[in-house]
Amino acid sequence: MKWSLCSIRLRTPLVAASGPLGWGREFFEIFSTRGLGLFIPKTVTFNPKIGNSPPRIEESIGGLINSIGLENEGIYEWLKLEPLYRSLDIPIMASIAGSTLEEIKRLGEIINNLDYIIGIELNLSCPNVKGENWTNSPDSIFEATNILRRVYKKLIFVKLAPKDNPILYIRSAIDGGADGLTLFNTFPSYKSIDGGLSGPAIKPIYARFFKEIRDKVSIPIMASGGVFSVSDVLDYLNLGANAVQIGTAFFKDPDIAERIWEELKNSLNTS
Amino acid sequence: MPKIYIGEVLVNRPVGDLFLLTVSIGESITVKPGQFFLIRIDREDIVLRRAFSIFNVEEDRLSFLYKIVGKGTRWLSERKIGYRLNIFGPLGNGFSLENGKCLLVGGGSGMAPLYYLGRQLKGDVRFLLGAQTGSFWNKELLLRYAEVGELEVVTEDGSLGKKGLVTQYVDDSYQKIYACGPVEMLRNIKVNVPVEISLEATIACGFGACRGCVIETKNGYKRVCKDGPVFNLKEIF
Repeated sequence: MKWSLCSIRLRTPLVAASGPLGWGREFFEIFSTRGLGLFIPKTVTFNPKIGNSPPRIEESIGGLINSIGLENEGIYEWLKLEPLYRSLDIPIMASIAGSTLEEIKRLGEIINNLDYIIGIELNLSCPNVKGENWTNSPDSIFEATNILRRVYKKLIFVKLAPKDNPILYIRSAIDGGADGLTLFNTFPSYKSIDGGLSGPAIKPIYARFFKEIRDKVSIPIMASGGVFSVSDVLDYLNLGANAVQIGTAFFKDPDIAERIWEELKNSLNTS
Repeated sequence: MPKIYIGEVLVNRPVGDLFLLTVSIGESITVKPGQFFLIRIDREDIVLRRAFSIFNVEEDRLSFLYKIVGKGTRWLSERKIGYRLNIFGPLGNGFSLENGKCLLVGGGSGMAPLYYLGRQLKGDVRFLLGAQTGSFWNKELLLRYAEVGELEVVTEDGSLGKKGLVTQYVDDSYQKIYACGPVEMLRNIKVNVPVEISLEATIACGFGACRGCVIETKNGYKRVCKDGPVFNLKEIF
């Protein structure tokens, strides 16, 4: 099997989703890239963000609610990770978020000069940042995508929130100039903290969204949501995903990508 | 460097109100007192591993002393001898070792990391362990601590040892104090000597990446799993 996202060849269809592994500093000190086709570091913003006040995570049945609030040290600290990203033997896609169109534009201009970054995942859907939820209207999705498109020449994947009538939001991203989509971010949830739900609990819901939209969209899609096993990966691939992101499952098994890839190779060889 | 180990269960039985778990990981490794391991809960409805500070290390055997608090630890307590647990660690910073006279204060299951700490300390070691009632511990467990250092116990109901709270019996006559237990206990340690405390949190990644376990300190947010779990008392309260 050959895997790709537009012009980018991937050695496996497994993608380390933005978030759980941070910017990769700590993870790649301990673990290798085995099993992974692409790494997307945690979302970087123009200015540093201290994130939300604790507690930030809470388990629910079959899931995890998180409200980290995009804590990160800002684009200028992120740029210092160039040696790490160059040293990894898989492509790196940046994840960015902005609280204004100007911030998105400036991030796009900076990252456009980085030859070691193959594309940008534009995070328009973090459920945990007040007042920055671009996903609330198709028009704002169009504007945010389009401002990035005007300054950024390589791949743009737009990461959207799970919402009713998803095709409406998807069309706005495509019209704005997206090359691909990441579907979807965590599901807005509340237990004792207000955050985004991930984990096995959301997978059937997300699979239903996929079933609804895949035939109506021709650009590449990275599926994201509740991938914990090889059968979850196969489900999304069969629903038309071009690559599959793994996130929360890294907490249960830090070597999950390697484990799933070994099984996936076997099941694809025998089928 | 932390690693994923398969730990075969050798012992998993109650000791008083706590459980003692010993696993064999097939190789001897270096673990600092106060570091922790994340144990995978092999249930589909549980996403996060559970964090346990190290209770003891002997050759290729790791021991943990834990309390059943929910579904995850209940599941763990039901593992039989021979079960192969998936264990990730050692993680976190661990205690810094002081040579002089030290007091090791443990409230409830907070006693767990102090045993291995006591074994590694070179100077005089005194344990001060507290619980609501004397039946919290069994004799075997208390004897093990008494083999490592001078032992004093405190119970809220006075059924064993001194009556009251451990914090009433903490004073300045030590070079260093180490403490682990409920937040209220830690907050009430009022002394003028250095105190290192070990904190508990819901841990996701365990290696400092996800920022899920941060706590507020006087120096901003800190990650319990990577900057801790051991902090200076003054940095927190």
